[in-house]
Amino acid sequence: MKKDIVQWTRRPMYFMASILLGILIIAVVGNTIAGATHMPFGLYDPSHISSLSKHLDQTSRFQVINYNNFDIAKEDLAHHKIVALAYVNQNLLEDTVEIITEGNNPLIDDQISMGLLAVLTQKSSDLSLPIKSASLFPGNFTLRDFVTPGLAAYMCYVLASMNIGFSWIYEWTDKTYRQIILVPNGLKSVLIAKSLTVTFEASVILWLSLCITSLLCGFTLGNNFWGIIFVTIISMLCFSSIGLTFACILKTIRVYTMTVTILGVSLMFVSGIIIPVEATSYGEQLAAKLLPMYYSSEAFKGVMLNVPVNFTYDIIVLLIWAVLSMSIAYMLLNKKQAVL
Amino acid sequence: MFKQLLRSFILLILLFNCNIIPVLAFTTGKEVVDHLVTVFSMWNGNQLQTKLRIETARYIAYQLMAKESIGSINWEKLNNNQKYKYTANFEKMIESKFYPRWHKLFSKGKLVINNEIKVDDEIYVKSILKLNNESDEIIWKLKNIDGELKLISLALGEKDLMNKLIHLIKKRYDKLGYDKFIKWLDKSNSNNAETE
Repeated sequence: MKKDIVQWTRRPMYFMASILLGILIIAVVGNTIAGATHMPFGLYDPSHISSLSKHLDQTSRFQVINYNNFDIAKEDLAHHKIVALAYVNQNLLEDTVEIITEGNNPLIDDQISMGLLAVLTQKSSDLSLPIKSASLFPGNFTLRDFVTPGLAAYMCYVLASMNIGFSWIYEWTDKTYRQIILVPNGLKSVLIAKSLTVTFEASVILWLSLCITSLLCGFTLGNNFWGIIFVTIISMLCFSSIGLTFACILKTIRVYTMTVTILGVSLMFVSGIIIPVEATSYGEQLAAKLLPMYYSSEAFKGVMLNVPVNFTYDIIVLLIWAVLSMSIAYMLLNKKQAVL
Repeated sequence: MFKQLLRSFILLILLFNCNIIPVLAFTTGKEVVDHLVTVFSMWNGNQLQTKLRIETARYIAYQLMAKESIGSINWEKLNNNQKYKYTANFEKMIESKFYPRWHKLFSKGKLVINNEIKVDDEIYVKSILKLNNESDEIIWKLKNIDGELKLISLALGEKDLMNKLIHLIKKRYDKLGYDKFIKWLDKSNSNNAETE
């Protein structure tokens, strides 16, 4: 364990690269999922009596340009000066808001719909529209806040599997562990030491990445300091154990890297980090609930956003995965030990 | 013009400074419409004052509108107490749903009253609401009730206030019945009041 920590401190570039990876994933992937901001948005409100412009401006999603002439507004839309145009009509009997888009970019259309729905249903009390929205557990956080716990769980997987896999396979192929594992209880000691060291190292990298990215991107880290530490450690331990099992099975760095990368991306997509699990097919929901990243993501949401989650259940599932993986790794290595 | 200004001035003083509001007897539909628009324009748009409610209720035929909204057959089945309670709730609904909107549009826009046509016992007043670059034609429908001209509906293009209210109320009333409907209306009014 001491050897591992010394080795880690001797490789500052590796440490820096790991933190950079964390920052990039949390910041850039988070940005992509959280959606576009400051979209130029045209507003034609001939009565000038709705405060829609103010409310739209308040959300960083839109940058509102007010028009007094509808034809000029449509021209600007056609020339891509604005991404959409809202025509607000308030009369004695009802209010209507017509949204006109250029129509060639479904991704932008979705972003506009999401942003507008939030503004029109929650903020604009001066427009009487037949759509309202309400929440059972109203939370004061943005989409960015919501995706970051999922990305933290994904980072746990990336950092833990990368650290444990590379170091384990290098040590194994360089035969540095041979003397240690051949002594009584040596294998158990190596497994425990390696898993704990990687858990600790990767956790420190994740915390640093989260702190730096939180300052850069301004998402909610929450006040539950010990909760974040606990969930990080349990998640790291779980993914370190899984990484160790894969390292024992795959044996070479090249195969290991490829497998872990492909698995990581698949896990991210299936575990509700980008698309909510509830919105996926039954098969995908089942897969998500069988795999650990979903539970890690849920536990992170609980501690970072203080949303209602089944925290104990999530932690138990992660621990079960950790124990199972560690047991498989132990059995596999026990066989190899016998060969040695 | 002078007469109109003078009347608005007197009304403003009466509405906000005195407790006694005189009954202004209007003989034409134009005068009633003009008076209602003045009242809505002068209101501050925030909390509904008793004076404003009394003044508008005097020139809006709430009981007739309430009757039409649920249909004559349903109306005749109600006793006097129920009719009174329903009309009061109906009035509250109009106040919370439309008064702030009417205040906003009439205070910021300019209503030009054109002509009025009498058809049987009903009077149709044609007007144009000008608001910035937009102009909307509004037709006010009034009826002589107990010697007083009162508003019974208003139409904007193909949309009509009374039709809108019937569409909102009739089907629900038929399904829920009086008691449950009153509860729903009461709850709906409270929600609207909170939103405002």
